[in-house]
Amino acid sequence: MDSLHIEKLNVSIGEKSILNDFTLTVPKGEVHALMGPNGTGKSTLAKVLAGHQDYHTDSGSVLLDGKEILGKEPDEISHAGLFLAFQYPLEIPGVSIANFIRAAIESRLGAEESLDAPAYYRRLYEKMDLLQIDRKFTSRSLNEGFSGGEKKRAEILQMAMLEPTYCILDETDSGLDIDALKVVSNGVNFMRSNERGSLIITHYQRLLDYIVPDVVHVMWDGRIVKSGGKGLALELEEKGYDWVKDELAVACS
Amino acid sequence: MKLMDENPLNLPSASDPDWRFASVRKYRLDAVQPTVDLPEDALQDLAERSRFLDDTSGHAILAGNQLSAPIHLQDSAINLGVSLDLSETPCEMFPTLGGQQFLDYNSTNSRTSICLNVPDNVELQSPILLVHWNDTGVALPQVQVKTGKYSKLCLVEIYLSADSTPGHNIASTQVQAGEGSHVSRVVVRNWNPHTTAVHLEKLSAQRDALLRSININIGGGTIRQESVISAEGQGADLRLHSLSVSGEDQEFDQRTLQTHQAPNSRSDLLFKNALMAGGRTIFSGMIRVSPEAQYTDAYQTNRNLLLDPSAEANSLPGLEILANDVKCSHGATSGQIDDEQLFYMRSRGITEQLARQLLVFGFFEEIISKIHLPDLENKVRGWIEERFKT
Repeated sequence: MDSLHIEKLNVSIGEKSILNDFTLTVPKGEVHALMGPNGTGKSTLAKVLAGHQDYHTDSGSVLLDGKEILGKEPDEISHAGLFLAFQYPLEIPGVSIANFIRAAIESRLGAEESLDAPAYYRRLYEKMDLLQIDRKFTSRSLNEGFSGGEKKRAEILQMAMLEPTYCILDETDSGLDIDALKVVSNGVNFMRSNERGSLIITHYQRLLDYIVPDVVHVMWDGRIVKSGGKGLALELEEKGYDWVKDELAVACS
Repeated sequence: MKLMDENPLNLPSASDPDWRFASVRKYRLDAVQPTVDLPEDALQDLAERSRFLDDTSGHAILAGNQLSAPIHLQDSAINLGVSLDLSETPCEMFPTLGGQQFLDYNSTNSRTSICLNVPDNVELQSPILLVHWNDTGVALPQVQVKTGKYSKLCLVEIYLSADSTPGHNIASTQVQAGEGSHVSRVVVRNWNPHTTAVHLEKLSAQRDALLRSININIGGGTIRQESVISAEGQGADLRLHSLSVSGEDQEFDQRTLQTHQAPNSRSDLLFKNALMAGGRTIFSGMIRVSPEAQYTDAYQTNRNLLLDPSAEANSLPGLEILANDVKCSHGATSGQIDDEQLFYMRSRGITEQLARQLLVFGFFEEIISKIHLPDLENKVRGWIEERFKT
């Protein structure tokens, strides 16, 4: 029950099928890594989980602590406890970081509740300090003119403020230098908890030096072809994705 | 006073290229009631309603073609030699972008020409506020501003309707920013929906002057704005920004000309329109760089946010460059709210309705945040919010 459970998910765009009977369970308290070459369906999976409307789900099920989220609106999925850190966070001109996160938090409050603004800002600054985000950024438009590293830190900041039960991090390492990678990883590690499950989607092993996963999955052609411990990531790094293509994919088919 | 009987206004021809896309016939004056002078209590009431800024160096409040109260200038400004008066002489004529008849009409008939002079080296710390209340009939405001060398001025012009009666406004503004002066001007137009207006303006900057002008167009019926900005001395820097919110039965028609007559000058134009159901906008812009104006930087951007399929945004950007070493660009985009931005916001739990609202108001902030007068910024935000409620 206490898991993000994806069961035989089949997703297509037009005639092209992207996810094929994709099945994965991330229990609460664990960090899983999902690795695979480009074009194998990792980012599609992330967007489908978050409720993106462009993809057609042919069949399958996504249960968040036993509750179906497939077919729900993106804001409902967010309220249910899922968070997606975007590979390419969008620029939101004219909406400051502080007001954006505030709107997201207020959307979770009941009709009778109101946000405690001083407490909100205390918490925001605390998380910003942790992620080494300058406080000047609170009034800057979200992601507008941010560097790659600043955008990724802003994603983790939102995650830290919204405290989701399940986190999907889509290629959070892409475009980061080592310093930024360490800061982002610190933020993610800080959020590791028995009450939270995470799925780290990445192309490279590098991120997993800093965020050490409990389980590593290898994805190819819209499904998982091998799962193992953290050593699997190193093996993959060493043997390359041709190994996946030539051996794992063949063995699975 | 029946202005239109004494001096008929000849409308431009509907086929005049300077009036392309415009609803020319809406500018006829014959349906407009004659201007009536307001009683004293009504004038006082309008003066009371004009407290838009906490701190000013002076103000003039006009109602129709009258002063609603004596022009006020702070002693500190008077001591510095600043003058703010009703002028005896009509404003100098300047080239228009198709609205010559309207400028002639304004020049011939205006009784309220506000004249502001800031002497050399005088820096006004707080803004000068001009409020023009439209009532029945045709209001013909004029504003003439001259700033001396290395002076500093912030000017706020607010155009409003006194009530819901149909009105007509034909206005002219001329700003001449002297050498090295810094002039920051904000114009807010928020008339009732039955108002037709033509505002003709010429903004010029001498050597090394910085002249910023921000237009916020919220309420009104059929509104035309012509802005000629002119870099007349080397190193002059002109910035013309605009935000218009157009809805049902509203037409905002904006024509601009950026001229560069001197080298190393710069002009930057950004006009943003948000169009609701039935709204119409026209943007026609031209950059003209003279042969002697080498090393000019001139930019022109028009962005239209279409919030309903029935909205119509027309864009006519243009360049005419006679110098050979310049940086110029122009561009116009029209689009709807971006689905990927919406998805991103909704993935954080923000409802679709609120996400749309935040994106629309975010679109406005780029211009509003340039005002740099917090009380006016908040007033403008409030007026725009009201516009979205109706």
